[in-house]
Amino acid sequence: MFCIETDKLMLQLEVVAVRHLLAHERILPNVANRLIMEFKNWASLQNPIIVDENNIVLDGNHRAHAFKELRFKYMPVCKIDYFNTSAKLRYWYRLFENFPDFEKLTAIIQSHGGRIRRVETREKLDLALSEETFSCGIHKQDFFAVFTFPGDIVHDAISAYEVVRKIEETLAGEGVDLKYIPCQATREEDFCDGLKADACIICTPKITKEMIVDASRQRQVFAPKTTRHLIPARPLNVNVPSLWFKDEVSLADINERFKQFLEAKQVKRFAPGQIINGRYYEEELFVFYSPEEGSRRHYQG
Amino acid sequence: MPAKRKLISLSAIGIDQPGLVSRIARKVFQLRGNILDVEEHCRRGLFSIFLIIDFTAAEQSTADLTRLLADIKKETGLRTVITDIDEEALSYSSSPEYHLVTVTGLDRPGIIARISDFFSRRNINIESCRMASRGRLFSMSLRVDTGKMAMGDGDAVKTIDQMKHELKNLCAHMSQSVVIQSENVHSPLKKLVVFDVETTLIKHVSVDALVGQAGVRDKAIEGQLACVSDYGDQLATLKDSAARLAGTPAEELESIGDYLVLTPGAVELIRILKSMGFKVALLSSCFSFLTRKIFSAPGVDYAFCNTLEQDDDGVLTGKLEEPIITNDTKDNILDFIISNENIAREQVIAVGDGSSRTHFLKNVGLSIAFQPKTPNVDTDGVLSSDTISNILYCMGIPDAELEKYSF
Repeated sequence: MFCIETDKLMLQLEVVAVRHLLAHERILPNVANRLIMEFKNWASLQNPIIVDENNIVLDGNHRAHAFKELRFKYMPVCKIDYFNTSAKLRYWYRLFENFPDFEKLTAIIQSHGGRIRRVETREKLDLALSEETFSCGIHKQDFFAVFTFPGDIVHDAISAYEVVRKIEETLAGEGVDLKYIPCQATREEDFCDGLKADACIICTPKITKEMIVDASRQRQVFAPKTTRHLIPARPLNVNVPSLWFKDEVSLADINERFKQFLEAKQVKRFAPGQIINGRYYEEELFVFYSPEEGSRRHYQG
Repeated sequence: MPAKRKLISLSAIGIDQPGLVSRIARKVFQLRGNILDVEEHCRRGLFSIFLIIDFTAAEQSTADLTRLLADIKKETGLRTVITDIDEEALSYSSSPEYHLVTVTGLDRPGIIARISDFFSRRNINIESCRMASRGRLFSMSLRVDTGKMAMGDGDAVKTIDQMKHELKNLCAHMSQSVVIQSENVHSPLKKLVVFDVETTLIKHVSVDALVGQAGVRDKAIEGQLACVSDYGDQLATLKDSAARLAGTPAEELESIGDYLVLTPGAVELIRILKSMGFKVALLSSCFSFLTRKIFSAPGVDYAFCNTLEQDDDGVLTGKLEEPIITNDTKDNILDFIISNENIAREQVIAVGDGSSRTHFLKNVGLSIAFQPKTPNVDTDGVLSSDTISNILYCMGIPDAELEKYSF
């Protein structure tokens, strides 16, 4: 095991058996298929997935699925203490950009057994989402509403997200475009100002880490794009050869090999808020690199 | 001893039209002449061509070729001149030292005359020269050979550096920007363009306006902006500025960066560099709320700045997240980017103000100082224009490629 100790939590890099990984969400087939195609041809796995102590996949669900489908035996992971307070559980809200008509949404929600109640302000919507278990919200310009479902339809976190998925599917059937947005985006002025007049956001139900762990232990999975985990630190650019994970070696042997591989590299730490490889990272980064590949290399024609 | 060749040069000028090269080449072939070298240009509707022809195998004389070419003149108006070449009298440079010199700025009379005179006085040969202008903007690229330049005390590196400094001074005097790139076999394709944010992409005059808008926290913001202006101990200033912001909700600072004005053409430049296939990196010692606008420019591949530490409620603790980025650590970050991209340092174009604040400009493939306080900076080039996108003229990008973009 290769450990990186950060101010907030310990990152344990190791290899686990793919069959021991527990998904907590279903995959999006188009995303999974694209990754399967990519991993078939990629020589190395760039970043390890992030799991908790029970091997519940917190970040990298589609990559783990692709490894399973491609019959990889092992997968490199970054294990963290999920219940460390610095690891945040957030949600994906649904943004419908060309939303035609509010009456139609009301009818669709009602057709799935939902009850809609208008609230006056954004703050009252937030309060309702916090206090009313598994309630959902609607945010369209200055219109705010809460919708709930009777207990025979929504009785736990899994069923709460399942009914959101059904509403999504019905809307998709009506030709409405769906985007997944981080729940915090709705608190950003720039984001809200940039929303078009016909855009509508569905705020998904609040759930807890305990609900995720309980469901995963019972081999239950949430609808796709339920959780969004904010991990305060992340390893990057591990770039470990993919073929290693198909080898018929023991878990102990592959772990030793992985550890030696990482020890031969250098790790550069970056504070949150940097852009690397074109992606913005809100979290602290530990980027692996091999200096001899770059700055010590001289151009050879 | 090999037989002496019979070489001739043929030059022609006229109104451009299709088929001119073909007509000339057919006549040369008809007399069994072999074209060794050719250079042809069409500028503003005028055609010109220069050929070196081996006429050794020709059974007829050059007078016959002159007669044949007269037919072309009748048909097209093309005027030709044929000259015999005495190969032994030609002075090849046995050890050429090529440099690509790009001069850009507002057009004015006398630029070419003064620059060619500058090279002439130093026995530097201009091998090729091409001028392009866009509206009022002048841009000229010259390939010069310093192989025969008089080397003062015998130290070639010092003499070339001295020549570069003098050329920068001359160009500064004419309000022109200049970039001098040494051209040799180890001049690889550039792949990464790295900017020092404080000295190139942020317009300095906006700092006062920003401090005014920052209200009660102006002291902290002012201190932080020491990164933009001159400073004493940068690390201490950064820490002090962070400490002054303790207790401030981070979201209150989010909009402050909006008051910072970017250098004209900055976002456009990043967009064009990206579409040309370059990787773009931004290095800053500023706090993240100040760099937000430029970091969100589409296509940025790497961007590094300082981040203020927050508690769980999003309130600033008064500390900076480690590692703290200072002007001294930017070079280290550039090394990391180079490793990550698996490129060589020679493939980097670095842009800063050329002062000691931008150490990372040293030892890269091409270093450019943008609006330096003095022209005597230790960089390959100096860009004195207000518009940073003019840097594109200095990067050796073909005119045809630049024509695709509006900037």
